[in-house]
Amino acid sequence: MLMVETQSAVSIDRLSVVFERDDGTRVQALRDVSLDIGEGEFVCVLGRSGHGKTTLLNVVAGLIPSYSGDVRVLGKPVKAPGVDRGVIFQKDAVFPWMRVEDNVAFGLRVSGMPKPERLRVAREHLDLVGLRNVPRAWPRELSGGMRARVAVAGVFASDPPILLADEPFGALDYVTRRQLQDVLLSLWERTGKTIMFVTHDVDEALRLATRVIVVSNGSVVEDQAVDLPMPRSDDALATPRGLELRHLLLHHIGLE
Amino acid sequence: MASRRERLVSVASGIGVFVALVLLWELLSRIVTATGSYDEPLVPGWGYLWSNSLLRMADYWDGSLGIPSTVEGDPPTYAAAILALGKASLITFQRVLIGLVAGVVVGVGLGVLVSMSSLARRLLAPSVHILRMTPFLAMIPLFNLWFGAATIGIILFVAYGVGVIMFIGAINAVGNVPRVYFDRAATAGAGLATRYRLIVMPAIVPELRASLLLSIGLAWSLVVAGELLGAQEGLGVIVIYALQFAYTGRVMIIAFLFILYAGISFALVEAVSRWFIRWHHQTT
Repeated sequence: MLMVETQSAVSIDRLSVVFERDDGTRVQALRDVSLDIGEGEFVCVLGRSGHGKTTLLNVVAGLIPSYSGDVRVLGKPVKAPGVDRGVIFQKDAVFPWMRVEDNVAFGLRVSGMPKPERLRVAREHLDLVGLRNVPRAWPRELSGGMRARVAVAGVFASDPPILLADEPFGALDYVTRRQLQDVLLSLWERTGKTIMFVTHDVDEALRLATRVIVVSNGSVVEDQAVDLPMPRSDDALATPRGLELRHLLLHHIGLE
Repeated sequence: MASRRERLVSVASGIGVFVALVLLWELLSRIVTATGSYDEPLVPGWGYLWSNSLLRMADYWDGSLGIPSTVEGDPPTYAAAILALGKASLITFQRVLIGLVAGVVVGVGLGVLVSMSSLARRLLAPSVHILRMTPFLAMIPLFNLWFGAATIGIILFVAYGVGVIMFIGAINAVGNVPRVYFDRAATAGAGLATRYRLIVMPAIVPELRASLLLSIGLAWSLVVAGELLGAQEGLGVIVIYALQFAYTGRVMIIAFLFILYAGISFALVEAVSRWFIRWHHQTT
């Protein structure tokens, strides 16, 4: 029988990661994780701190080379970071010695795009994240929320098919976080990228994701499609279905 | 932020203290009238420093440029004195400059290279630690033996001292570059060379600047030490002659010059290098 198989953007099969602490004891960060993410999905990886979400993301990003199991991105085994995966980091990774537009254009510079062209692309993307007026500013002159916008603009400017985000808005205030979620959603709808987004915030996951993976103690304990229409207003999340999903996720991360 | 008035008061009191110290020295010179050999006062007053010690710098002028030298029996002139000091200063300054530049280039270059490999870092760590602990002045006799007491030996000695400071500074600075910058560069597709060019080199500038400013004072100290060991010309040579005759005043004048030069070069490098870290959070 012939089966038409849609290609996975990310496919993970029996992934385990063990870290060694300085005192020699071992920690199993991930245990036997299997997961398939299709192209164009917006997957939130939800879980509490220290339960393995960031490790999972870093393996896919290629930042943790020693793992057991099979991890593929667009069909190719992951051994190192690559330009097919853009990453937005948890820590502020905007380079302070580069002006805002040079930060956004960094990936394009590395890939060898000539300066006028990459600056044009950078400015377009600054426009998309609402930072039209500060291309020549230094990062230290921006607020934390603005720097997060720079990071988002930078990763979309490089145009990788897959985007990995590790609690990118965790350090921001509530209003700014909501604004950046909207920015990210509009860019996702515009570009159709595959997004893997790590968060500990149930509401953030419900607002953004088409699918939520709950990670607990290094294992996937729940894999839940979020079948709520986009864009998801507060009212939409307060519907019976929205509340049901919220209870379910809260239950799986250890509350209720 | 200090108000205008507060700043005025602090500047005024700073000047006041300086004037008080100048006057105190003059007072001391009148109380302590003891002289060393050759009748030179051990605590020379300002009048003596100006009319005798400074003027007698003419003794170190060689008589070129049509300005006569005292060696041929002519009376000392301030012109000859200033020229003698100027020439010696230029020679010494040149040694400081070349030694400083060579030390910075080699020290930073090696430091960055070593930091590229964790194996090299581990292998070199004990040696670097010993190097850091070794007093620079203890190495003078070696430099003297290997390279002589002439200009080349002095320049190399300055370069060595500055190089050690910059080498250690560079290794520490690279070690302090936040890991997330490397990760971001790697996920953007940057290889090792690109990472060093676009991330490490700019990121370490603020810390290197601190090491560089430290090196400037050191370079002036090392050049004095080097010159005292038997150079043929330069400011240190004037000190050697002055010491032989216990000319306290002349030694003091050269000491003032060293303080002046070290201060000026420090301020200059600080001001110019500020441009390179204009992106950085500055404390001043």
